[in-house]
Amino acid sequence: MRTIGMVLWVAVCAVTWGQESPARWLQRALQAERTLSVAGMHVNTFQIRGRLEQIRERFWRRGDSEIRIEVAEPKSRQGEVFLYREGQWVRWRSGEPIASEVPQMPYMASELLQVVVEWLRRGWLEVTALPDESVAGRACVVVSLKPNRPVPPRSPMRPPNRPPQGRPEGPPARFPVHARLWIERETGLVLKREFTVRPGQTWIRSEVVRIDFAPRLDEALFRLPPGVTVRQLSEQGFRTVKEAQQVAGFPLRLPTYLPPGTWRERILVRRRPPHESPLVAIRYSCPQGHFTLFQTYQPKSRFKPPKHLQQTCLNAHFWEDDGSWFGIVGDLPKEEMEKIARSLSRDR
Amino acid sequence: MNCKQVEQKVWEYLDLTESERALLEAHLGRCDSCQAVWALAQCTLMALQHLPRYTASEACKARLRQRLQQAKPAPTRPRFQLRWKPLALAPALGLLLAWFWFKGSGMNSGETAQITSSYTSVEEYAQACVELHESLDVADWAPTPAVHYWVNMSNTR
Repeated sequence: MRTIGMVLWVAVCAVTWGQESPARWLQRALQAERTLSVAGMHVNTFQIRGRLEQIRERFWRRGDSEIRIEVAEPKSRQGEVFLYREGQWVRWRSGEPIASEVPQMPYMASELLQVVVEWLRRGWLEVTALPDESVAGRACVVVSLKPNRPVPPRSPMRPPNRPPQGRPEGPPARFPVHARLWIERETGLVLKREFTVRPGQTWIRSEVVRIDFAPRLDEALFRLPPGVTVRQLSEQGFRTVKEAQQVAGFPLRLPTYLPPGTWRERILVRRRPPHESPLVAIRYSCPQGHFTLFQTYQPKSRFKPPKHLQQTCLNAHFWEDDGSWFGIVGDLPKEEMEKIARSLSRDR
Repeated sequence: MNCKQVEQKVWEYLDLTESERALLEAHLGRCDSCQAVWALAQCTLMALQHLPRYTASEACKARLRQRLQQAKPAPTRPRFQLRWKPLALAPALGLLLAWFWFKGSGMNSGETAQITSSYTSVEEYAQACVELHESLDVADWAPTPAVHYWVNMSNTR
């Protein structure tokens, strides 16, 4: 009897050892992302309002400290190179003498895993293991992640190792409604990831299609060619309203009311053709979600509020004031968004 | 087209040929400093377009005509004493001409206006805003800056 018991115990141990918990796999993935030097190709596919986009990229990386990405497709973007080192992304085109800083992404892969591991520990995410799948010819464990409902007050989403960059300590951005990670069994590297922001509408998937676990990484790969100078962040994102104001070409208005715990994530000035007024987008994050304020100069245009927005579960409000068109789009309750909108009005 | 040429051409946009415009826009698309010059030009034009337009009353015009007719020719002075006046007047005259030129172009609607409406309807604007908001939502979870770059730059270049 004792022998049978021993055999059973050993069997149980062997099975549990062979089937690590999803949380353990995430820990392994985090370690792999931080340390492995790899090269290969991945494909990013994303859908926004029914439109599907794809970017195919070659990559070389030394853990999460040095990364080089070259856009291979679409053809119009061939020659674009993104370099990451010392906490800053830089973009340039092959053959051009000037590179420009790129705004920091919310999460590097390792930072995202670190946040996920922390949230799991606190019980804010629900994790399940799905049947194994193969990615780029490698066996992968598939981990599914969903935020618990109702979402509790959460710790800062800011990756723990990154300086605040103006973002106050506060509640995090919203986690996607569903995330799946394909973690390679042998090395723990995440070979595929999929985030669903709005089911059936908005999602992004990144899949490795070719990988080399023992690449020869020349130092020059992670450096700008001699003679290329770096221009400070300005091309697409702006750190301050003042900077954006200079490019916008019309007076920007800011809300005097913001929900408690709101912080400004970024400012974009989306250039239209040169003879047209640009669209300015100021993105905010708060405990209830994200919202974006829009403004453009529309002289001599008739404004009639839109009746309905197609295929969206977002709240939105649009209005006109003194030749400018405004808009607010986001996940916040309608009343809250209208309150923010009113605070932008000159006649409040 | 290089930066120096763009700086000159930016004020002549309306007079440019299609191919020159295309060259200018292509350069603006990849040069931050020229984009700033362009934005400054836009600011100036917009400020000028917002200025109130005054029209002289008939009485004022009549008084001015009368005073011009009554005005006596100024006594001739030694030339060296007048030299500073053209120097001071030249920039003022330039500004005045620029004002009339821009005012004229601003008053003509449609094709000739420097700053035109970007959206043909509020629906189009609203859809663009919703799409950009959703694009930013997606970019937050992108593993590569190429997606961020796409979100920020697409439809513009």
